[in-house]
Amino acid sequence: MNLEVIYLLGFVGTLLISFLVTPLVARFMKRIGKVGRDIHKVNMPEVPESVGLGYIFVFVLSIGVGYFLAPTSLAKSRLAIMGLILFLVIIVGLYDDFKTLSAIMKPGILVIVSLPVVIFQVADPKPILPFIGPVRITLVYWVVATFVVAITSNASNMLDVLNGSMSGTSIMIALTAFIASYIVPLDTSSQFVARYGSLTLTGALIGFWWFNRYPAKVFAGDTGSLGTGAALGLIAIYGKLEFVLIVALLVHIMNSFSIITSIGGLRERRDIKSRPVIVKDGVIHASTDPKAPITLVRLLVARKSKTEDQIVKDIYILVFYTCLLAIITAFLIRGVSP
Amino acid sequence: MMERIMNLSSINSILTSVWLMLLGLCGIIGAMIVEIEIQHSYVAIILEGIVKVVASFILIIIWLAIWIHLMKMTLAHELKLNPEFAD
Repeated sequence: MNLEVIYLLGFVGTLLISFLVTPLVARFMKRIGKVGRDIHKVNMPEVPESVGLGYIFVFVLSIGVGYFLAPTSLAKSRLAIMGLILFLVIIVGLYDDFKTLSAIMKPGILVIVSLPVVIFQVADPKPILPFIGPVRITLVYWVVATFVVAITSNASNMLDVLNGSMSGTSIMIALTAFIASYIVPLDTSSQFVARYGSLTLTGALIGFWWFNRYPAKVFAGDTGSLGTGAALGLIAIYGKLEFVLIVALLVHIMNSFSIITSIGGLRERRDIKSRPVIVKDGVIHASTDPKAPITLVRLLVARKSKTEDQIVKDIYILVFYTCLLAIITAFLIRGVSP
Repeated sequence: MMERIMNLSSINSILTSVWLMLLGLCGIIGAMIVEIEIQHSYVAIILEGIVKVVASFILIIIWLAIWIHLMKMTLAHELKLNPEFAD
């Protein structure tokens, strides 16, 4: 079968299944009492949590299907490891949603579950850098690769604070990876993982975003946000789009990096005395407390208080901008590719 | 509307600066990573590798420090412009 047809079928399939599965998972979570308050709304409605389990599971299943359709044995190995790591991340996310992991334990465990990347070594440790071309940094590459899943999944988790902020921005980033895979010259295995992985992730995310967008009827929970971030990190490694996706994820990285540095490391939520924003009658105001964490939302409301939907639109604009920068980066990489 | 665009433009400026610095950093670090010459002794190769990794690490730390500084500056500036906190 033509590979382009496989990508398209993967996209349509994950979109439809995710769209059908999400309300079912939401109903289940509501039945077992897994609901949370949407604190940014005036009436603070109860919304089913951990519903991201549905779409991320659909994505893992699509990776399983991709294993049988992959054109090379290397692509099959990469998809198998992706599936394994994502499955482990889902378990970590579920545990965090239902039992809660500490601020240090969570990234620590995510580093451990991403060890198969280093153990099986089916990635190509020669990233292509803009202006330079491919560089062989074998040892450094594997050291950095160990932390990629932990960094991207936590970054995605930290941006999941407003209705549709994580899911909407992840759709843009996954689509950017798909577009970039046509710009950056890639080998057959990397090409398949990048295109199939990014397009099926986009489909699964759109099916979920429809219910998660403002005003949200479902929340992704840590299961969804950690899984999405891990999926993007793994597409970056196995699709050889490392540098492009770093640029596309700049808003996510900026948010998590500023939170961590402003509170002086990984800290428990209850230990952070001052909140970055204050919600009054559905309007979000910035905190003026110098000790409050610097978050993206605080930066966005610093000049003028805004409603949740306005902030989400601003985040979409920012991520759209970094996705454009990522596409420019892809062209810079293309210029020096062998 | 204009204010909204202006607010976003300051964050977009941070992102653009961070991206340009990242490209520059990439160029410098990439240029340092050259093929190791065979005539060097094993110790020299190891030392050269360590120096390159340390230098790259320092450059990345500087990049991150500038990034934090830009964010703090922008937040302080934006808060000053907020009419709610005028007094």
